Amino acid sequence: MITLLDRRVVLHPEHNKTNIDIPFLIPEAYHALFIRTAYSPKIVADEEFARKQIEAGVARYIPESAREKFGQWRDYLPVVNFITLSVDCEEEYIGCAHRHSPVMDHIISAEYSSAGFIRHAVTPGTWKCVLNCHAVVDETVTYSLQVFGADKNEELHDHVQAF
Amino acid sequence: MITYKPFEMHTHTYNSDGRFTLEELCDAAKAYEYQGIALTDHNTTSGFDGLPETPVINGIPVIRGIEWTTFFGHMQVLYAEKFVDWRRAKPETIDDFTAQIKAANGIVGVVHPFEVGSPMCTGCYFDFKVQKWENVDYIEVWSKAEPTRRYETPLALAMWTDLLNRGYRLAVTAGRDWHWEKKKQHAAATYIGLEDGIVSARTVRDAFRNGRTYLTCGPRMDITLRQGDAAYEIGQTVEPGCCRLTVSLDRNERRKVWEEFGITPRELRIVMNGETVCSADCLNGDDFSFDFTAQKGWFRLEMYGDALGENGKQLGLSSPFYCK
Repeated sequence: MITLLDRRVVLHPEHNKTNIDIPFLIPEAYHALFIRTAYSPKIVADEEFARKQIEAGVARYIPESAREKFGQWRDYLPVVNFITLSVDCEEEYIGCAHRHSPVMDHIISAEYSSAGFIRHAVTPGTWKCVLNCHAVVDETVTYSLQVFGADKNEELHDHVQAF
Repeated sequence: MITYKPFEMHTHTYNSDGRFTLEELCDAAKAYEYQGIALTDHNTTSGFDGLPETPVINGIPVIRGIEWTTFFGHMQVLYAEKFVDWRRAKPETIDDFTAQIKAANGIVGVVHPFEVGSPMCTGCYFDFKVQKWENVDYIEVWSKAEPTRRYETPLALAMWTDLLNRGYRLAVTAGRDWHWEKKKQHAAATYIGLEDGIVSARTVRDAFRNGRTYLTCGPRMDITLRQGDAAYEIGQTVEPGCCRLTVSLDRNERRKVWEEFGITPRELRIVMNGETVCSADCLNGDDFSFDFTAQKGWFRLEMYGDALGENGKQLGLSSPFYCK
């Protein structure tokens, strides 16, 4: 496999509710793309900080009359950082992996794509990974993104089984 | 001929954060005696990859949808003919995006507008500053399972009612936001009025654009409106003046999926421009009729009764008829 992208992105609360575009060039056609993502921390460990965040949310979203039943801050633990990945080929949207696991592997190819992505040939051109920062609550969240190109069927099948 | 069929309008599979395969989801929908679902995975339509426009899986037609899971609110988009980029929508620019969806022949629905937002449920609270509500086709007023127990339900009902009072025409939906099946729960149904009962992009668009939906926690409600010699469907516009609305409750349809939750309809109401104008006890009997004078604005049918051990709960809600 050929490494097409290997990026570490450090996220802060100012990235909360933003999309971060990470374009990369695919110089030649590949049989499949493998994408490996990981971010940390997932769970906000500081419970006192989490409590304040939740209580602010309760005050904003839940009417006073419903707070006794629905506004208990512990019911909303844990507070998490939440970043999803979406992918585009040129101007075409390939999909998004909207799931909570902080560690995920994805495959995109003409014959098979993993959950959230349509099947799509890995054609030369400008592709784009987009980090969808739904929640960056902690002061620092580190996101790593690796994209590999593969051109052998055996590799694809190996990874399909592994994923 | 318009035929109403029960749907579950808000579902997810493993293509986003659900745990169902599409086949498992459709089997579960069949167990709840729905006659169709909308598949609305978060930010992806990959569940439809390689399938027809409206696939039928294990006998269940599947409406092609996506849930725009943005940072500022969630919206459903049905049958858009091209991708509109959910990632770029911001509270102040949402009207541009709903206009793009309309231009792509899509249907737009606001979902769970009063669910708690970040950090508990990221982006779930509806913060978009919609000005052009004419670009929105429906609002999910009953969200999640057991909508009669949720504090969000009256808030969403008030939001929808306010928009109707301001002259906007919006249909109503219920959506379980179904991600997996842990245990059997009480879930409402959205009945959609489809031309000849056919489920297709054309008939579903037509139903939502013309406001032909109603919700029920229990019995099917067959609703007919007559004014003079003319008959009207839900969502149509009548002249000011006398009209007769008839309701037939079918307490057998889907009975096994709701009766164990203590659903007992007790009262039907006609609500016009936010005020109840007539009502009837519906504990006994199945056929009811209301004679009243339609006035400029809108009117809808509401049903009240018992659910899950509580009384005075809203058990039925139609999209409005309108009056010139």
